[in-house]
Amino acid sequence: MNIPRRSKGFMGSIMVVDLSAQTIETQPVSRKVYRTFLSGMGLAAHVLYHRIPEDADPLGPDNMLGFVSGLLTGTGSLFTGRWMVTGKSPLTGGWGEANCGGHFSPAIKRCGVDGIFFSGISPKPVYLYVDDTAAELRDAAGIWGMDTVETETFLAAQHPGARVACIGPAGERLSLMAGVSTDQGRMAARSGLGAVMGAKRLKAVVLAGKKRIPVHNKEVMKHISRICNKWVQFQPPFLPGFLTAPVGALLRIMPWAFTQDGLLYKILLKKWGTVSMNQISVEMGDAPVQNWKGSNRDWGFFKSLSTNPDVFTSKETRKYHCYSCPLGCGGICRTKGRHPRTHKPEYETVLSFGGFVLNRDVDTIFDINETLNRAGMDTISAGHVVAFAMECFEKKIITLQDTAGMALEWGNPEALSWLVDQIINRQGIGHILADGVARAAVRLGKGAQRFAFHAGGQELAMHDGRNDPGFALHYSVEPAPGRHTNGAWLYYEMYQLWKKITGAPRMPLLYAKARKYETGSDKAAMGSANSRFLNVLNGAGVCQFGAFLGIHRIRIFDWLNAATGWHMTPDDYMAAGTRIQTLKQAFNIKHGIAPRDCALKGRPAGDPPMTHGANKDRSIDIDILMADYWEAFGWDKKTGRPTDRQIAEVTDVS
Amino acid sequence: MVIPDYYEFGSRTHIMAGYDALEQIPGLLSSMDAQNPMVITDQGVSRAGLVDILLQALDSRITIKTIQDDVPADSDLITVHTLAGQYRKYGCNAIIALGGGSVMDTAKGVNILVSASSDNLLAFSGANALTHALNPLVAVPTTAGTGSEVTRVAVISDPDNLRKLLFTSGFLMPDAAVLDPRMTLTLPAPVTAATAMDALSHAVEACLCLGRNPLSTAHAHEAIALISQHLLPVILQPDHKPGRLALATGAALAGMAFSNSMVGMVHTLGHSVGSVCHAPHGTCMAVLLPYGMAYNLHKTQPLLADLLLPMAGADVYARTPPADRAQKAIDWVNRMNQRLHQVTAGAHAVCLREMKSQDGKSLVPGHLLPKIAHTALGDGSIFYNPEDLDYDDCLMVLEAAFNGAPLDLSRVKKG
Amino acid sequence: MTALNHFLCRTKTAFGTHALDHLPFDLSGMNARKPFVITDQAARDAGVHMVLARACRDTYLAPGLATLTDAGDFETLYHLFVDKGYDSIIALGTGQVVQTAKALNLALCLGPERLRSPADPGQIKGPLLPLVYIPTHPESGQDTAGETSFSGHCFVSAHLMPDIAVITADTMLGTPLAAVLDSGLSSLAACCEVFAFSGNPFARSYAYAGVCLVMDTLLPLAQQSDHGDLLCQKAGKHRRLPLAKLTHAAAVSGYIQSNFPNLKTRQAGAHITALHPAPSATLSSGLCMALALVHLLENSKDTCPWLGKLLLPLTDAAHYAGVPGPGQPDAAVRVIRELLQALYETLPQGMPETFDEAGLTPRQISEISNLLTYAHP
Repeated sequence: MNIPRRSKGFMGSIMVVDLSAQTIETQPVSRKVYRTFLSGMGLAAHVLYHRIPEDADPLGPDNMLGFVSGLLTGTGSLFTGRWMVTGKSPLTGGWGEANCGGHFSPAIKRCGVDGIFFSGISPKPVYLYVDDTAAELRDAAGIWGMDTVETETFLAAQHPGARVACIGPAGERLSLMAGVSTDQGRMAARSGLGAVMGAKRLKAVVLAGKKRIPVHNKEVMKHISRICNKWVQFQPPFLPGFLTAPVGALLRIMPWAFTQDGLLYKILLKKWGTVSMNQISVEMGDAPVQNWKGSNRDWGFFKSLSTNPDVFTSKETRKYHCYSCPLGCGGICRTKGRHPRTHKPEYETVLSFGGFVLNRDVDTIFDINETLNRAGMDTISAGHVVAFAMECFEKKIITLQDTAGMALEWGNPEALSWLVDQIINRQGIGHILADGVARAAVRLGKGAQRFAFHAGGQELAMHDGRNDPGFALHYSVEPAPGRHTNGAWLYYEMYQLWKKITGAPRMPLLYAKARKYETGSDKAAMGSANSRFLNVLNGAGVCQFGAFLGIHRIRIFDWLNAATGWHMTPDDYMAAGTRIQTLKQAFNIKHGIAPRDCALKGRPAGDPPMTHGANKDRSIDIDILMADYWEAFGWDKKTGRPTDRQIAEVTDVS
Repeated sequence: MVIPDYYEFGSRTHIMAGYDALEQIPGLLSSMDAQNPMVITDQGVSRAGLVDILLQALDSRITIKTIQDDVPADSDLITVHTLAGQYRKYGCNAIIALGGGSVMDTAKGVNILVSASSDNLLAFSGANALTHALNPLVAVPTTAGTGSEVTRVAVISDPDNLRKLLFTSGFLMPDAAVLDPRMTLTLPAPVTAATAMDALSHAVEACLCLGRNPLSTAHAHEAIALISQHLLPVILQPDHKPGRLALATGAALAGMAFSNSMVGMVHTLGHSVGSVCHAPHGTCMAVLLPYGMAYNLHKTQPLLADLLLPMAGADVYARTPPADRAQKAIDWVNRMNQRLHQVTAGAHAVCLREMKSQDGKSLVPGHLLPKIAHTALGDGSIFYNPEDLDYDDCLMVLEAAFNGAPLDLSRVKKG
Repeated sequence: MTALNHFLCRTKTAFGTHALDHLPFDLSGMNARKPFVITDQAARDAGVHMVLARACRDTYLAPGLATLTDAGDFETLYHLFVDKGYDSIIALGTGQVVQTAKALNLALCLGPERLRSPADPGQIKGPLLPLVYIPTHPESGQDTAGETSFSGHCFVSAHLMPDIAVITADTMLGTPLAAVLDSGLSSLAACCEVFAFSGNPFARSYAYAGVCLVMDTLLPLAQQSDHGDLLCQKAGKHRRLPLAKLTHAAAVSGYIQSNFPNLKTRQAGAHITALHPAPSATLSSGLCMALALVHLLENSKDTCPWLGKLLLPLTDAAHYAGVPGPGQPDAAVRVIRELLQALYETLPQGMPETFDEAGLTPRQISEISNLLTYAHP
């Protein structure tokens, strides 16, 4: 075996835990793998492609669950506290990934590995404990059943200084909307990987390693970090500090669009966090309303006013920063209700349980946010399921009999809280809904599928492809579909990749808004650049909000070279991004996914088009966008399948 | 000379250092068109008769509008707001800050408010929130240690919310720093020792940390030379004016150096011991300095070796084989601490365990070390230390410094 | 230490490859949003202004650019600045550009009348507008000093020092060898004189760094000259680094000259240049200062307490510590002599090594020699 020389930036090995056999092994990874796929998500794709057999049941012993850290994590860079959970998704049956901040990412590397992979199924509940002297599976019978906050509090008391990632009751009950939680409420939520962890009877991963993370040139790292930090602290002179709904309305009305500079978003994030977008998004048509059928008309300025950003910051007792983050978009809040201390809800949660279900009661949103965090369940998917149930109730597919007399009316806070509890506990109607909208619609029948919106089984997020077709494309086309973090035209504008890499179309400062809705080769180039760059970010463990500063301000490629001692160009790194994308697509092909099947259908694709509101008359040529995108990668235009040679290139690496 | 990729160095404070430096203040103020100063100081300074010396030196050439001498030991928001009110009430247009670190910080805070005509200091907290020059501020330090007379930082506590507000901006540098030995002649020996070692730790860290550059290193070396030559003689002969002036100058030089080069773990840990245990800052720094040097030894060997020359002089430097110079510099600091321990009759502590309050109680109880280590992780200066530090590393260093035991270098994880 | 040491350097030095990247943050920190960039034709032709423009990109700063062609431009600049509502000045260039920028700053803050008929040119009470200095060549230290002259009047004030000096290889232009020598030697002379004869630790710290920078770069730069070309003209960014370092040294010598207006070497240099009505390239003021420095050091070898220490920045710690104390002054002077000798060998035609060779009469030499002594306790 190829024993790596002293690695720089990455740790050079992975930990593999066989839960069935209760064995733990550390395996070296060749440096070629890192150069080809970076670390983080790329490393995970490499490991899982080869080790998960094609007929593996996602909740069975053959599936593997990987926790990976980023290449740049802990190297003196900034915004690099992201870690990822990966595996075969039980929601989609294909590539599954979920990305999270907090402080868990450096903890993985400080155990001397870049990733920890689990296979098999433990005979009894266990948790993995790793420190510098030992790695062992410990009995978790006593904590099985605890919520995520209780679990973490308990384990932190047992192991002072350790970092914990765990599942809550949702994962234990194999809800396909379950995620993995850390820092008492940061969630690697998507792809239903919490259920995979629950199926493996793995309650938690507790990491207390203290190893140093090696770096090629720390001084250069920190110099780059200093200038990056200056950008984070920089207040551009001509931008107003306060932007609210009217700005969103303006963006909607104007016939032309500005290429967005992420510096603007940075200001909003720094002041309010993601909730800064609560009202702007509705006004400009970015936020879907009422299970994708409503618009800003149904959820106008005064209705969304109760979720204006200041409401959230007024409850904030302190800012919450993830590891190595100079921005700090998170917050710890004090609220009324069952759990006075809670993480500030994110935009996605607020909209999912706000405009998406026509709920104006903020206290309920806070409460549901904490309830779902504790249960270890994805708030986006849960919001979708609840909206789906409400629409089914409206359409009489679900009746009062099904709900024990609870009227699931739009915007009824009481019904929301009740339904969320039912879903978490898998009781009554909750049992039908707990595995996501796609399965719930099948179980309900009666034409419920018309109201279930997802991509390949994954619920969509609170960004509307009819406003920014980039979202629609990336919801549909990615190996892990249905999530807003994959990409959008807006993201492309903010990354400003054309300043560093070749082949990325330059965005003009001002353009006719209609251009956004056209298809064409430039859109394919933008989409593929988004995907490839995101793979670099996920390989490096960089937060997307940091990347939104623009690639000339957050010098990720320079950091990567300084951390590893490599001399790769930005284009070289983007090529690694291409390889990772191909490998993940190959993973899906291997597992029998037809990429076409993930295409958005119905309302989110503008079918039929809205008759009112910000996205009136807009529909998305999703087939053309997808075909062009695949072509940009050199894959088959019709099926989205990479060529055999392309697949061989990325699978013959060892 | 190794020149970093990028650096900056600036210290726009007008320095006046000399035996009759105080007499220069009227001229300084008039050159800034500021004839109506307010004097900010504290009770200790006032009791020591330093205000009288200042007034005598100013003679009648300038009208002091008001003298405010009730700055507490830990400058806080209330004091700043009260003093700003006084400034306006008396129609002042400049501040003379006479005292140590907390007086300087308070004066900087007052100056922010009165210059911006604001009543909300919070609006200016954080990095670079100031965008306009402030009113004239003349700093007259009465200890030779903190260097706040030339730094761009002010720390003001917000007791209501149990937090410390940090203000950083180039505009916070005082317009002038007046270093007069008459201001430090009466400092007791232990305080002299602690403050001078504080300055020495500024200078040493300025040479080791990330932002170091040729200009900051030149300032730091000059500071180290002045302090190491004059500290012991001054302790033995407290009224030695040239020595006092040299120490004051060294402290200012060190302040200029470290505010441009950033500081590292000695400050990280020193701040934390200070804030957790309310122990005197200078002594904490003195005790921790050799440990900080040793911890970073493998990363900064040549830089540490260079320090031996200003510390111990050319002869010792030339006699020491190049490979041993770094260790020798660490030993030199250790020996300096021990000598100070002897000449102050034990008042200058050489380990954290020995730090005692005036009534003889132990200031740094051993059971608080974990808490100190935890606090240290939240200190911004940790980023600039040459070698990484985690909780265990902090604790290991603190434990060694607590007992006065040498640092076990084999336990330092080399990243 | 002397009875009163005072020192004031209002300029922040930002040096290095990425120095310009940091400029927008500094500007916004001074509330400067619309800087007025003054440059000269040479810099413009070389496209240096584009380097600056790139650094300001995406920062929402709105710089305006004016190119200096001749002295008659001043009024145009003034009106342009006022009409367009600029709020700060960036001098992108060396010499005339900076002097114009300083004068413009005075005119803008004190009124143009004050500039033409100064009541008291020496008394300028600040503050002036933010002034950023981005040099394109090494110079003699005048640029960063707190002085400027306009239509025959000399204005002196620390407020005239730039707020920031951004010195980076990115903006360095090819420079004739003679100018490089002039700058390097005058910086060396100023820094050495202060280091050797002043007990002011604040000035000595700057001087120390200045001497090191010159010793690091001057000889290697001169040795790479092939006399026809401008130095570093075709060189890549990293090859221009020595030029930037030398410019850094010049900036430092400017700070020092602001605080020590009566440097003996400078006076002697001026004196000699005055004796030679048409200074040739071989007898620049920098060279005169260097010759004067050697003279000055020789004259004071036995009386000046800090002279021996000069060996430290001129060489390094190991060398300095290796020379016994009493031998250090001689050794220091020898290093400077050797440097001059080595520089001399890089030149095609004769560069005077002594005042004698420089064509001064014995009488003139003794005049200068009298000038070049320090009275020391």
